[in-house]
Amino acid sequence: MAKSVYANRREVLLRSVIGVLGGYALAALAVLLTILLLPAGGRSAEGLGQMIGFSFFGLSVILAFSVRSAKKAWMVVGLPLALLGACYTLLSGGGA
Amino acid sequence: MSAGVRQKNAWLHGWAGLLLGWLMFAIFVTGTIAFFRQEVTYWMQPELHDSDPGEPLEMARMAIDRLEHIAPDAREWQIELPSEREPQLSVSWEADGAEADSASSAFAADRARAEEAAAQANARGGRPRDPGVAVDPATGAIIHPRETAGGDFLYHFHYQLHFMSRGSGMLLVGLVTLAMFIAILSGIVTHKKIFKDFFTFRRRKGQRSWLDAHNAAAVFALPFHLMITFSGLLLIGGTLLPFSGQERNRERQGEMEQQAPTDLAAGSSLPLSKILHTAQREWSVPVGRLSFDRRANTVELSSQRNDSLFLRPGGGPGRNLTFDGTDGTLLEREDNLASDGIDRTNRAIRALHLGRFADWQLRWLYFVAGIGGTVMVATGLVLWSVKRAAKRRDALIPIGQRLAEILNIGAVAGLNLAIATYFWANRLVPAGTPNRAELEIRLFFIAWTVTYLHAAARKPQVAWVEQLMVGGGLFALLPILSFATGSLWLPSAVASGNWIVAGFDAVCLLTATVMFCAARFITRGSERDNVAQDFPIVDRSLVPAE
Amino acid sequence: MLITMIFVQAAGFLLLALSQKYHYRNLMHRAPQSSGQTAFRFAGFAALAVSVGTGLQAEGMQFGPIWWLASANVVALLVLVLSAWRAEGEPNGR
Repeated sequence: MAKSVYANRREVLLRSVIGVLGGYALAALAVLLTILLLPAGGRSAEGLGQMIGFSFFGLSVILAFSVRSAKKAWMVVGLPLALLGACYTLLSGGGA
Repeated sequence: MSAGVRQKNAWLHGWAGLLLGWLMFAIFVTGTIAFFRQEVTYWMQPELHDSDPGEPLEMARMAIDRLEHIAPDAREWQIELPSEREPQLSVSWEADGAEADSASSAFAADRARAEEAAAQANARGGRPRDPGVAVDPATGAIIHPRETAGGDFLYHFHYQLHFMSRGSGMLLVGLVTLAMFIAILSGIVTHKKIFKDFFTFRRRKGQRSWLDAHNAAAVFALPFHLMITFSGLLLIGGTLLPFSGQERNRERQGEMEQQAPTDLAAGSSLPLSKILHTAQREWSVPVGRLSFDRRANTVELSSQRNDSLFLRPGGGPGRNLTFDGTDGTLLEREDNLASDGIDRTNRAIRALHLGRFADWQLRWLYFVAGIGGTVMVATGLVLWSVKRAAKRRDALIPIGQRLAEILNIGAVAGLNLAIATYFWANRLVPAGTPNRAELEIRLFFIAWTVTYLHAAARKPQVAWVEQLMVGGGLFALLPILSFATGSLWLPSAVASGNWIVAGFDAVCLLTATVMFCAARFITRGSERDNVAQDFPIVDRSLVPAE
Repeated sequence: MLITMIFVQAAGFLLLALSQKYHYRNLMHRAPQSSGQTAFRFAGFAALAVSVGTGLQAEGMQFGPIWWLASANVVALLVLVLSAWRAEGEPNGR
């Protein structure tokens, strides 16, 4: 099954790493950012962050395994990851 | 969507489903039963089956009278009025530090027994429980139901597993849920003819039939599957994404330390009828619990179930009314409604998962949707094996495939057999056995372990059939076992209008039928000439039609 | 009211099944007329829309949709079983 869909194991590994780990990092950033942006939100901000975060995770994995190449997968998931990461660094750095 | 994307998602669907599929099935099965967790616990305590609930006012009076005898020194009393789901009247008390032998002599033994049972239950874990007993509403007799973890065991298993810490259990369940989430999403992408094949089930077509069943179970209850998985993620979100930066604050910690017991209010002077009447006027749902704070002389009434998705979905009732204990005036009405849109969404999603708002009709539909989920996971697991079996033409079986087959059998047929064993143990282990709740759980796991060993020792086909037959037999005979051990069973339950026991027995018989049918299906399948080879092993939905 | 919702919903799903040639043949044991398909589909969706309205009216905006989806699961399953079971009786069924 695997042979016909993906070129080789390396391809699968690369996609898994960016999809699963990148997706998880994206989800974590979503929670952190939501809490940062809604400081008065408390538990409800945490809940919203988790809702967004888990949706991001799902989307990342599906995209990482759907796009044409592993390189593209890294771009599709990596770009928002870098963007959110930069946002968080800026916002949390400015606040502290 | 292009065929390539669909094919890639089929690959992802297969691996996301298989990797943790066995645990996924166990979580789905125990979680589905957990929709009836209180009913299952009630079935597992046949001592309670004989008492019929009466009028709320009379029952509350009776309960107060009993509490005054059993726990006159307690600073808190709770009365749980019978409900649709738990039709017994129970009372409990909280009296830490006070003299246990203040109970009047006739009830001293009852009190000691209840406090020991509570200590044992708390040692097992879960939410701390106060000592309590059941009261027969008609006669006022004290009932000590047999000690059992009941439906709570299956409920706890479905989100924190067993034999490991709560934290690691929840983490593992969280990972399974993430895999499930991915499997559902990729399953939607890969399913090409979601509308065209909506009602389609082709019988006796080998792999095609399995795929049709898998699709139907997945698509019909798709909103449920998505909801239950996503809300499941949110419910253990704190374990999976622990980045909130704030500690969960334990409530009620400070207020526990109080002065020595002085001036405990007597229950008999309480204007109960006025209080219950007010509650009926204020709420559209019946009263569930009455809590007496005997130092402040107040009574708090809690609603039996929520009538809105925006109320606190769990960990306590959504609506409370506090009354003065002397004249019965309404002091405070508390409704734990969500404050803003985010909170509302949050609560609604969680409430949908827990389903505590559901009346019995809707609860059954939840149960059916849950069964749909178990069928979806089971057929998915079997499909994986069937595909592999069809592909290999020689007798050589790779070790990985053999292992997957063993796990399939133990996870699907074996779990059902183990659950049946759990219920059998409940009827067979004598009521007075020390630590019998733990013993029931042990027997469950012993039975489950044996099914894996059995699957490893026998040929797959034979192991499937034998386990399904034995499990089905255990379920089929369960009502008869109840009868033999002197409990209510299907005919007598129907005759006395005890629909919980009747429903439980009926579900057992239905489960048995399904298991027998599955066994027959597998037997017939192996008798015919290698069915799988007669039909293309390649999943037709994965191949571009053009 | 809820019972009405369930029956209208069942009618809707049945009509949608009849709008497909495969299920029409299964259920009716004869070939469908080509003009009927669109009509069945339209009537099916209309019935489903009505049943949504009935469900909302019966159980409110919060619990109405839950009831609708929960019963749709069972009703659709019944239509599937009906179609598969009727197909058995037909000699030249797929």
